Amino acid sequence: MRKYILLLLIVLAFYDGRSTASPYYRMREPVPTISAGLRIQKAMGFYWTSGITGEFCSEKFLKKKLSLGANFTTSVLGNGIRKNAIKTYELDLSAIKYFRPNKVVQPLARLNIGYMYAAYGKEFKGSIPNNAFLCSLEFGSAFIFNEKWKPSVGFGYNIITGNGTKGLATVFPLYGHVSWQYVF
Amino acid sequence: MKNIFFLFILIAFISCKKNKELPPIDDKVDLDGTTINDSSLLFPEKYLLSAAIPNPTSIDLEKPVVIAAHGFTATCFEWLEFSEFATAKGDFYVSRVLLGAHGRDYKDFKTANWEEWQRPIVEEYNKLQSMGYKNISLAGASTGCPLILNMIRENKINTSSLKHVFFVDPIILPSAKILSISPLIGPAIGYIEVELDPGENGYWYKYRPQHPLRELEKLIRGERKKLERGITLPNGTTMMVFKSERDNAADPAGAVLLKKGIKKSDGGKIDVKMIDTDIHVFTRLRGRKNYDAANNKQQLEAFETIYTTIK
Repeated sequence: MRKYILLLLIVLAFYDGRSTASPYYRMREPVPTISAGLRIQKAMGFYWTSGITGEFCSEKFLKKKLSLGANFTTSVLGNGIRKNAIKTYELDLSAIKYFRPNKVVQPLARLNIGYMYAAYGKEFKGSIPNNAFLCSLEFGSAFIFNEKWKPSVGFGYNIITGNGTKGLATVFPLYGHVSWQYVF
Repeated sequence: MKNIFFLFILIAFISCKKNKELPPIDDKVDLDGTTINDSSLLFPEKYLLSAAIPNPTSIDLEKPVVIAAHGFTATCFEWLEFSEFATAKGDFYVSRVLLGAHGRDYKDFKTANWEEWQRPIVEEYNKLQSMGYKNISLAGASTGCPLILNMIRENKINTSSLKHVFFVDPIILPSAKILSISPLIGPAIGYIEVELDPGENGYWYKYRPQHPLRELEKLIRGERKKLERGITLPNGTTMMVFKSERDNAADPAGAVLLKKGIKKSDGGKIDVKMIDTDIHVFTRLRGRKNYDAANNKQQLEAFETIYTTIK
């Protein structure tokens, strides 16, 4: 793990975003957009989950300084495909700030507020908390190679996790994610 | 500017050396020091049945035996009250096993892996089976549980004599979720210190080095993955799980994974009992500062349940 972090830091240190900036996007002002696509998450030391993601950005909303987003991910499309794993369902609403608009590589910061439910089964109802509100911060980057597709990668940190006495056991602190959206 | 920022982080990361300094161990009080060791190392005959009765009679061999394995950083003390319960009953044995690298000192604990922790449980089971004991049960507390689950699942023991498995507050999901990122932050933190009640001093390691924390994470992550795929108990073996409903060490949701992931050989479900307490390993009360009569009752009920199951 240590060597991957070192490698990532070296790449970031010597990466020059300007060299890959598209002339097309440098000239063009962003337009109101709606995008939707797939999102895959992996919590460090825990489950793969996946689902759908979407974003909305408009001149009428904060003059495009922020985008609004939503994710719905579930372990049913991940580790939960195995019948003995816990099925989790997570819904997040997000505020997203993109940096370097009009460039191919657009770093992003994202604040998610959400809710997760874990299906433990009837016999554990009442004895173990099976739902919780979530709050997480994400950092990453979107890659705008063309008008229609917007892939992004990043990592997030869940500020609220379960601790055995309260909160949800299936919320782990660190996670990575990949998404691929179609811009309408 | 951006490049300078990332280079700064890079240099800081490379400069982050492993904490090789010893924690502030008090040799007079702490098990982590070189003075205090678990007494099972000096007097194994008071803890291990194989050492207590090296030549068992046919009457001895008929009695049920429970091999009891303690948890991470603990010692045989964790099962002392159950051992006393067995002595009072007089018709079954408890063999208390000290996990490898436990009960010694910080230096031994710092470098050992989880397979070394597990080895003494396997050895005691094999010894008792070769002596002729036919009714053997395994009981684990906390980390003792995934160690036992692993040795059954991977056929590290011949399970023909294994009748019952009892788990008390098994750690399948850690309550401290930060454990999941121990491979990232471990080298930076070196070790963590836990606060012990005065009565627990000398029976638990107070300082938890990053290597065993990572080993613990590796062990429970591995067993959790196997639970997702499903585990079938050996023919004729039953399992009972006792789990505290609020537990700051082993997340109660671990009981869900055990219930879903383990089936008896006939396809039946295992028994899981959720206990209304916030004590981790509620079957051990001695040495604790805070517990009440309700906890005493829960402890006794768990012991009686184990007793009636093995008889």
